[in-house]
Amino acid sequence: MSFFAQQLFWGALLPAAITFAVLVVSWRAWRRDGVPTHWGTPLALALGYLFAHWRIIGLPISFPPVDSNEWLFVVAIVVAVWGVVEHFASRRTLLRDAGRAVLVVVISWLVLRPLMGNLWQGASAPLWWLSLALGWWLWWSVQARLSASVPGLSVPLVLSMVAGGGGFVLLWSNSSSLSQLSGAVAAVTGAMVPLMLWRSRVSIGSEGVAFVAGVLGLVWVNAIAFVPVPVWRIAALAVASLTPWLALLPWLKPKPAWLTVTVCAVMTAITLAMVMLPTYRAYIASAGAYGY
Amino acid sequence: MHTRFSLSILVAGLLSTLWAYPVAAQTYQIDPVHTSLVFRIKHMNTAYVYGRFNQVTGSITVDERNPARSSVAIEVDASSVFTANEQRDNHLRSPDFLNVRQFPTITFKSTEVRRVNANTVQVKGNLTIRGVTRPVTANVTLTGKGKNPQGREIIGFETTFTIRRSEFGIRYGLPALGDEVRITLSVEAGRQ
Repeated sequence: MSFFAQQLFWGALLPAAITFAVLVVSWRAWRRDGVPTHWGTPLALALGYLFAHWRIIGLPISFPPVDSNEWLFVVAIVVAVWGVVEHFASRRTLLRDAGRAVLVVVISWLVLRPLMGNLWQGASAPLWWLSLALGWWLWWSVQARLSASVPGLSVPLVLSMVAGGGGFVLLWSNSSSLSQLSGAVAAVTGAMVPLMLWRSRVSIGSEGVAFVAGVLGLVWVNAIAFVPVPVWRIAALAVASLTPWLALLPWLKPKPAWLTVTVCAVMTAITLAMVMLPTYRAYIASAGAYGY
Repeated sequence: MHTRFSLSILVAGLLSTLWAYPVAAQTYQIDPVHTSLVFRIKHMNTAYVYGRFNQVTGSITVDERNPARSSVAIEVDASSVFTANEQRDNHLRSPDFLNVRQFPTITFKSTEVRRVNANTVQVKGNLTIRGVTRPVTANVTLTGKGKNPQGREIIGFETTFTIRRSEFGIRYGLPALGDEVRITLSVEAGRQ
């Protein structure tokens, strides 16, 4: 098996299979009144992702982790547990938003603190930290609302597309490991799609979004802070993930689900292309003969 | 009379031998311009790729009479990595490898120095890469002593040793990019 085939198998295909298997078991085993419940979703996503993380960059060599990439392993567990908590905790939006805000501020402080006082001096340190935390929290909160307003295939499909396209953006921005971890998120989120085609009443829920937004959000924070990837590229990826809102437009809402999903997917692809193409051009212009 | 004469010659000889060595440990400052830190790593299990770090600083304390009192402290600017390909250098600076934004320096501090032979000492110490500290041992050879054009006393050393990057948490790309990294350090240092 070639190098890239190995990376694809261990970092995407097998993790997706793990997530798919756990989703099937959890949705069938714990469905309530014929409607599958969501609390198994973050656990299924996390198991697939953690396997991929282990294969791509290994397990953390210490706790707490010293390296920004290693934090992603720990945070994947934390946000999976948070997803389960969201399932059983209060449905009040304000409480959930506040809880996510605390989580995001604490995690980003833990991960970014080695840069404070070193790379970021004086007032720029808290400014960077809180700006990145705010952006992450806003994106997570918006995705949680989308998952409630637009049930069905659109949200997980678009998130999977954005994580996959974002993987290429990161690859062309000098970060293969974050690229592959983003690809792993794409694979495990994408594993939901065939299952949802089969069970149309199923949605990702704020529980599944907690995992995807938690891990992908930190991948993006790490990309901006540690690689560094230009902020506009990450912002464009975040914008590309908002297309499920289109399903709420009055002219599209009454249309069949397949048409809504197609419109969201096409608009996501177009937005992704707008960030991927210039990133690729910049990479090719400076890459010379370097092919990793 | 003969015995006293021999004794005085012996004492004079001993004194002159001691005089030939520096009275106390001498400290030298590493000259980054004439110091080379070169590494090699195997690419795709096929060929060795060489690179270097262009910013190496630090100090060396040399006690020739008592090598155990000698010491080395080296600091390397991790972002000065150079492999003659800008894109690859940027990749090496990223979290995939050195993560220079989080870990801007690579350091080595000796913990033990012992003489192996006239020109070689064994140096044990702690190497810190990417926030992970591991003990390393290297044989260091004295390559020369002299004066630079400004009249400053200079001294040169060279060492080659091998580390496993995975032990320092740099596991990206294994095994396609080799785990073993051979490091050669050639230092020129000027007396303070």
